[in-house]
Amino acid sequence: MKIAIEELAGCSGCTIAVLDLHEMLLDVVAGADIVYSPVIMDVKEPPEGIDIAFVTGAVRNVENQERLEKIRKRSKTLVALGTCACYGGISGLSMLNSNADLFSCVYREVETTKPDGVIPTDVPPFLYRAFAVGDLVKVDYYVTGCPPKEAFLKKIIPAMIAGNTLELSRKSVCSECDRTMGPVENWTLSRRHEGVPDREHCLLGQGYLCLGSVTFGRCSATCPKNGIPCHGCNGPSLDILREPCRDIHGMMVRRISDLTDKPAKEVEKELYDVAHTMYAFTIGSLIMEDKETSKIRDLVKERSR
Amino acid sequence: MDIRVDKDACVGCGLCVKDCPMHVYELQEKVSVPVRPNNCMGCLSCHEICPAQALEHRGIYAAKRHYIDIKVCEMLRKVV
Repeated sequence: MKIAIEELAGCSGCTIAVLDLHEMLLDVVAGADIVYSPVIMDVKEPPEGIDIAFVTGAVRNVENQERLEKIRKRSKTLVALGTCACYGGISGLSMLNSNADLFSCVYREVETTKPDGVIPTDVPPFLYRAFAVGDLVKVDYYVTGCPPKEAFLKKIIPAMIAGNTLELSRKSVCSECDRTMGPVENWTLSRRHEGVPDREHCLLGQGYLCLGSVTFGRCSATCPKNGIPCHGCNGPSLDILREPCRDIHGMMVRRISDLTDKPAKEVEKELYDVAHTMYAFTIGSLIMEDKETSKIRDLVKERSR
Repeated sequence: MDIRVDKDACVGCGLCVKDCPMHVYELQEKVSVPVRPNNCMGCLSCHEICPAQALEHRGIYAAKRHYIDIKVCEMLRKVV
């Protein structure tokens, strides 16, 4: 059994999450060889005959695309590991700027740029937009999370290597959260830095924009349990993914409106910076963009000029 | 109608009680209970609003009633 972990446009956090298996990693490498992973070993190219390839990161430039196509050809099973690979993730937010702006920010304006201003000719050009891995090649499994949590990987990686299937919860973050939710009066939106939330009640009800109800679980609701509103790093919950008329923004507005008896239009007026508060992890995904009610198309059009 | 509520997942918000046009649900000890399941007309508006996805109607699937994007279905089957 040969395993590879490929890095595309991402932060390598998902590979580190694999290393977070700690001592269980010894059991994993007893059953499988890690043959290629730029973050943890010095092998330049993926070999032929890989059994399971984990791909982390989104596809943002020509090099990412080439590497993705290469590893797809050389592997039997390809797993999109992490939210960038599944839905474009944080890398997708780059679509809020034009390619020219991105290029000058990354290659001209950072402090470490050489003062001569000469751009090396081997810099790979950007694609016209960000893609999730599944938008470009066939993917066999999706594992979401930014990064996928250690407790969750401890269940799925050994099972995948052994060729077993397993049943895991497919519910939202709210189903794992222990806060109590209920109708709220006089609701107003608070920014994350404002006030201190109480431990007992739902963060959404307290005015914080907690995306738990529209986000896929598997994280034991770690953030909301510790007073931090969910920012949706596991990608959309499966009901939002499934139904063409449901969308992260639309369902959040509807739920806030139902909880607070505020008209949806009023709730929409209170929201700020929808691109970063609602779509921070899914803006690069064609599947999420194609939804009828998705705001992604408008946000990208408006801000990328 | 066979309606199941996952008691561990239910957060007791009462949105299904409020949303159901047929008054199927009631909150009992902070958990939603389908007290009048025979009134249910299967619109699944409770599924749509439930933040914890705690509800299940045996035999009724939203996805089987409408045309749904093939790409989305492919992805749904593969989410681990």
